[in-house]
Amino acid sequence: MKGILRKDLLLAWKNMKYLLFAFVIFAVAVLSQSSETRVMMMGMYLCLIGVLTPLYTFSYDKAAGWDVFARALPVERWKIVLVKYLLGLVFLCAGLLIGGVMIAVSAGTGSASDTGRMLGALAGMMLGGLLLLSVQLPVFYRFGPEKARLLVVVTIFLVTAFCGALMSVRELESSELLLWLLSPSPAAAAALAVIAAALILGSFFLSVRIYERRGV
Amino acid sequence: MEQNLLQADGLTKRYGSFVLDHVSFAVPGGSIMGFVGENGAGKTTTLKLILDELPRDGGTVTVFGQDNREAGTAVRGQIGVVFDDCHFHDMFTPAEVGMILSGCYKGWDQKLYDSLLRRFGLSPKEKKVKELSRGMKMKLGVAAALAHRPRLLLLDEATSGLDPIVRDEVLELLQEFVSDEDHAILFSSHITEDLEKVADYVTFLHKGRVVFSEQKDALIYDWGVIRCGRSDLARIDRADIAAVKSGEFETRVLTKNREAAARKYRDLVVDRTSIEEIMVLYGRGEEQ
Repeated sequence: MKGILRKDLLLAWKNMKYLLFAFVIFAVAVLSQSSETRVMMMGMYLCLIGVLTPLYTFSYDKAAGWDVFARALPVERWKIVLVKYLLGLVFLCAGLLIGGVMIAVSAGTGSASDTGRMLGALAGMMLGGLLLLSVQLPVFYRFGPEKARLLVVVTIFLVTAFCGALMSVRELESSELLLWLLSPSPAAAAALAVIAAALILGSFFLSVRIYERRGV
Repeated sequence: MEQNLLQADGLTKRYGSFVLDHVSFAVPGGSIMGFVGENGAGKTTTLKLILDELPRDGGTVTVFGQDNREAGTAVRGQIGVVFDDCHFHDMFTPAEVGMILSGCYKGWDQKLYDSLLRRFGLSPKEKKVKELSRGMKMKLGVAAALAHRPRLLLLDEATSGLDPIVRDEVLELLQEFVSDEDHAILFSSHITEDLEKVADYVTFLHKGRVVFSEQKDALIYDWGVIRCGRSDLARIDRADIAAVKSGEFETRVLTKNREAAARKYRDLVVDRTSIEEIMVLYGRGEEQ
C-alpha cells in the first residue's frame, strides 16, 4: 500500500505547482475582501483542493491505464481503494491546518473578530469536503473519471445554487453565509461528525465492492 | 522432477458472446510457454484471470502450487508482468517508478533495478516516461517486472512494436531468466518468430479454446504440411489431417506426423512447418 500512496502523493506533488500558483492568484483576488471573507474563501479553496486531488489522480490513473498494472501488484484491492480516501483525508487535514494558521494570523493582527467561530466554520468546511468525497469516490469507481467528472460539476453547481438561494433569502454576504452554515452548535457538530464517519465508512465499503466486482 | 509453476484447469470466462472455454495448460519450471492466438482469442483475458484481475466463471489457476485467488498477494508478489503497453504515468521518471514499486514489492531489489536500467541504457532521472520511445518504455516495463526477483513472468505482447535489436536484447534476458527450474515465463505474442527462438512450449488459443499445447520442437520438427492440389485431398486419411486450407493454386494440409505422412504420401510434398503457418491453418483453415 505504501507504494500506491507514494504514487498518488507524487502525482499530487507534481500538480502542486499549478495549485500553488492558483492559490496565490486566488489570494490576491480576495485581498480587497474583509479578513473574514478572505479566510473563508481561502478555506473553501483549500477544501476544494482536498476534494479534487483524489479525483484528478483518477484521471491520471485512467490515462496511464494504471489500474491494469495496479491489480497485478501484491496489494490487496481494498488497500488500493483506501489510498484514495487517505489522500483526500491528508489534503483536507492539510487544508484545515493551513486555514487554521491563516485564521490564527488574522486573529494575531486583530483583524479577525471571531476566531473560534471561524475555526469551527473551517472545520465544517473540511467535513463537508469529506462528505462530498464520500459521495463522489464510489461514483468514480463505478463510472470512471470521464462520466463521474460530470457529477462533480453538477454537485458544485447545486451547492453554489443552494448557497446563492440561501444568501438571497437571508440577505447574507458569502462569508456570513458560510459562517452561518458551517458553525453548528457543539451537539450538532458532534452529530454531524458521527454521520460523516458513518457515511465515509459506507462509501469506502461501497467503493471496495464496486472495485472488486468491476475487474479490468 | 519438473514442477509446474503455473497451471490453468478449465478456465472459463463469459463476456457477452465471447467465451473463454475451459482453457487448460501448464507451464513447467525452467521453461518459456509461448501463448499464441488471433486478436480476440482470449489471451489477455487468460492473463488477467491468472492475475485475478477479472472474476472467473469457472476453472482454477494454480501458481506455485497455490490457488491464485486464495493465495492472492502472496502469489502476485512472485509474479512479474509486462503488458503490451506502458502503464506508468507519463510524468514519472524511471527512478520514481522504482520508488513506487519498491513500496509495493517486499522483494524489491533496488540494485538489480538500477543495473537493469543501466543495461537497457535508461537514465533513472533524465527522461520522463512520456519522453521515452516505445522500445525504451518496454525496457522500463521489463526492468520493473524483474526487479522484485519474480519466479513467474507474464508477458502480454511485450515485444510487439520493438525493433529487432531491442527484441533480441529482451529475448536474451528472458532466456537468462529461465536458466533455472524455479523460474518460468508465459509469453503471449503475435511474433511467432520470437517464440520460435525462445519458447519451449506453445499453447494455441483459437476463439477462446485451446487448440493445442505442445512442445515447440514437436511442432517444428514433428508436425508438417502436405502441399497438394484440391483433388489430392480425398486421398489423405482424415486421421492424418489436423487442419486444411485450400487456396487457388495449392491446398495445405497440416499433419501432426510429418515423417509418417512423407512415407505414406510419397508423391506429395511434405514440408516442415512453422508456428505461424500452424496458426494460419488452424485460424483460417476449413473446419475439420
